[in-house]
Amino acid sequence: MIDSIITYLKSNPLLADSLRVVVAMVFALIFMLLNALIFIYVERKVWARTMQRMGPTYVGKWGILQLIADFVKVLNKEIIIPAKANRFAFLAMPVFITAVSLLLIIVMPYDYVVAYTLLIFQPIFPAISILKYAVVSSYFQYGVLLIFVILSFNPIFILLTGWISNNKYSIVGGFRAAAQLLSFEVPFLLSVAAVVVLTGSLNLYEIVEKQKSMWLIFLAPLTFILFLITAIAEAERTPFDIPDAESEIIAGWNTEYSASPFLLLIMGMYVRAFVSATLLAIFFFGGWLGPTLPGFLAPMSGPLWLMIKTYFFMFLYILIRAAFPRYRIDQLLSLSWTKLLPLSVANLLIVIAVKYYLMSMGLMS
Amino acid sequence: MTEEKQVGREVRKLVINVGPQHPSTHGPMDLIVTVEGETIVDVDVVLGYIHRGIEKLCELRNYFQIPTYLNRLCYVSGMFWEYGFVKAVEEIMDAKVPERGEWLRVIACELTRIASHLIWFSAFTADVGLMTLFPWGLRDRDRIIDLLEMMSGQRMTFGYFRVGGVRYDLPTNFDVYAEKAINYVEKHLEEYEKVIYNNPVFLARTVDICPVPASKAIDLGWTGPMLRASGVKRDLRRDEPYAAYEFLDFEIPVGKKGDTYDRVYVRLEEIKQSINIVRQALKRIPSGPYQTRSLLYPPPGIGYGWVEDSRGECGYMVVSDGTPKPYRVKIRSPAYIHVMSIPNVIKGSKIADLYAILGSFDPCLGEIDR
Amino acid sequence: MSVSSKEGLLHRLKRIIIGPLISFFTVTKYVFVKRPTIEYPTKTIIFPDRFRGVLEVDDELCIGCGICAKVCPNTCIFMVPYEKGKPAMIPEIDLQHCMFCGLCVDYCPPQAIYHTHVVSIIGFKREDLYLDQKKVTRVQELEYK
Repeated sequence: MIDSIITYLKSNPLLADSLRVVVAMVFALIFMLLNALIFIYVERKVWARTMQRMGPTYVGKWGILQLIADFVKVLNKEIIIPAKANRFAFLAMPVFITAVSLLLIIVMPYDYVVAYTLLIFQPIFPAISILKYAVVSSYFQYGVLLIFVILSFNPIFILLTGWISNNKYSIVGGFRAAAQLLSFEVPFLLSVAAVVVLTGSLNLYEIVEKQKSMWLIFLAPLTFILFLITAIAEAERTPFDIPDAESEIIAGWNTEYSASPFLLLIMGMYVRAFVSATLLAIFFFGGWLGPTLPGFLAPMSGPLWLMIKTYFFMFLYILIRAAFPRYRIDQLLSLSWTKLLPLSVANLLIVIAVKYYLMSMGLMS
Repeated sequence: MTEEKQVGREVRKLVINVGPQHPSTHGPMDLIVTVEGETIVDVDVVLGYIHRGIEKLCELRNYFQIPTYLNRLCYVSGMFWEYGFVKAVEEIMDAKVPERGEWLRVIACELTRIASHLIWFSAFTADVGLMTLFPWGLRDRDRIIDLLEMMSGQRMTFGYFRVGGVRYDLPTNFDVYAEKAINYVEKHLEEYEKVIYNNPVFLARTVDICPVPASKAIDLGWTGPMLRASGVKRDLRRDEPYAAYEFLDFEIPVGKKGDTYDRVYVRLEEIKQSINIVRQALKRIPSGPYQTRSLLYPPPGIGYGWVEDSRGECGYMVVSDGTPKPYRVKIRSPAYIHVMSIPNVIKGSKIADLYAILGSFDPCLGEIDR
Repeated sequence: MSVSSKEGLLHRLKRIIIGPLISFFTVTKYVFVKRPTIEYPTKTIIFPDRFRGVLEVDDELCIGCGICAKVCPNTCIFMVPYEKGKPAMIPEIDLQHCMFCGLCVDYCPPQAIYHTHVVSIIGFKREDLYLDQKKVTRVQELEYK
């Protein structure tokens, strides 16, 4: 039966392609939302440990179900719209922000992770091997470029959100967020450019394959540090969480939001943080490269390594949040323009020199 | 919002209300801040949201009942507030406090100072965005509060001071428990210092923020750690020794510039000095009675009692007309004077620093509004 | 530790690189440290002897003198005629106004009124927190567990 379906799909490429994309998107969407939830849970638990608190304990074992309880609780809340806000735009902005953040799934290799994890059931259900065709993110030749196009939408939406709420704190928060994201975009892109120069590709899968001989962290540690700092800033996390500095401007640009729109905004923020953790794993730690697992688990080894590395960076994000206070906005901007920007330009030049040297030695193509 | 023409460009001033309900003010106080961009142009301090009329309440109660209300002035440092009143009444009465009573007062006060500075430290780190240290400070404070609970019977509203002594003697085995708790705090104090003094972000948020020179601090009537942070070596425990402080050996830490960093530094050093004092006092405390029977109420007269609070000099002026109730009780709150001087020192700072500066002033709305 | 702007470049670099690492690892260490939390409903702490909890009256010792009602700063103690007849008057306590200052305990001549270690008296109405003469002698049985 499988064979007949495959032959039918082969004769009808348009249908086949759309089916593949839909399956891949559904996989990636579920995976990403699930991981954003896990991120929030792990953050609450680990941060609580560093604070010597217990974190969630009562709902489920170790409070695992706490997030679901919170989720249901927030959904039950009233959506409060400020009297002077533009009603339609106020409700539309969280949807835009989350939708744009979720667009990232078409480039990120999450469909690969889900599909290949499911492949371990191949001995039981041979038909499942068809899922190999559902990995579409490898086709994006300019994937890295697309990621940054999507990320650069953020400042505009955040500024608009703050403005539409018609609240002083939101406006201040929105302007701060826009200033911060715009000024960190430049060193961020320059450090990514260094990665692209070293690997010679804009495709995430090719970037990983190029690291087979050596992970980029060993080749370009400075690039890694620059990317880490700017990625944290782009994800709006402490010490660069000025847009929603809760002790200063209440909650910044999302002050006025409540109930499900608030949930969407938080979801979008955590999705971005999770994506940037995955990007760190892919760019510098060889993505899914690692020893193959034995036996029937073999197809799962790639996804497993990728997830281990991603979660490592997730923990790093959480611990950095625990250990550092918040920068002031002017200090942050001066850090970006006077320190990170020159450093990243210098770093790009160094990387080009290294690449030239390695190419002349024949070590790298 | 007001608009103002400047040469060549138009500057729009924005008025932001910080409080009375705001996540980072230390209680219900209102700061009406006028900002020009990110720079603070003007601040109006509006107080009185939790005015409970404690001064009037004192006029309606007997002398022995009053200290039970006064620890509610600031439940973070209740012992000092009881002590100030008791000291004023003793001055009118010319009452003698037995030696052991004086030493017990020192122990109670210094333990409260540690607890007060610890909770200030937690709140301050939360103000600059370092949320992790917030529960750390509370954790350590809890150990000290346990000691005070053993001594007085309550965790925050002690009711420990009596005219002519203290209410209870030390509980059995107190020095063992105290040593344990103090070591616990001391161990963690090193960790605080490791985390904050090495942290470039913390230093960027505190060093050279809102420096107040010594002359200005004196002019504004500052006292306590705030004055010492500006470099003035003024401490009632040394300058006007009361209780058993003259027999104790301790240093007075002072800052250099009077900026936010110095205020943090001075308070953390004071915790160490207080630990040192408690250790000495527990070792050298004499035996004997800890309270004397005194008159139920003083003869007519005026008395002023001041002690070195964890925030500054807290003072009570008590006027007695020979009846069982005081004629007038006037409370001098150090935090009130510090908070009301914010408009004088804060102009030109950044709005994001307002909360760090306000936090470093250690405001306690209970004693400010009374 | 002092911070000056005139320090050397090497020292400054060291501060920028080593400093964050020290504070980072000091915080990270706590992920593995045991927490001092006592989870309240399942475990309870032991109160010190002097702890001032809800007041209780021993009607065998009480002489009905009414000093406790007179010294109470909040006047939350009221003397009422006692049903059992002996003593003639017994204090009733309004827990909503009581601030656990302990003056009544200090001034009671036969030490008939005393603090228990009860902290949780729970009610659904205001009247539930008023310890009338039936409740005031058996506070320890009323504790919510």
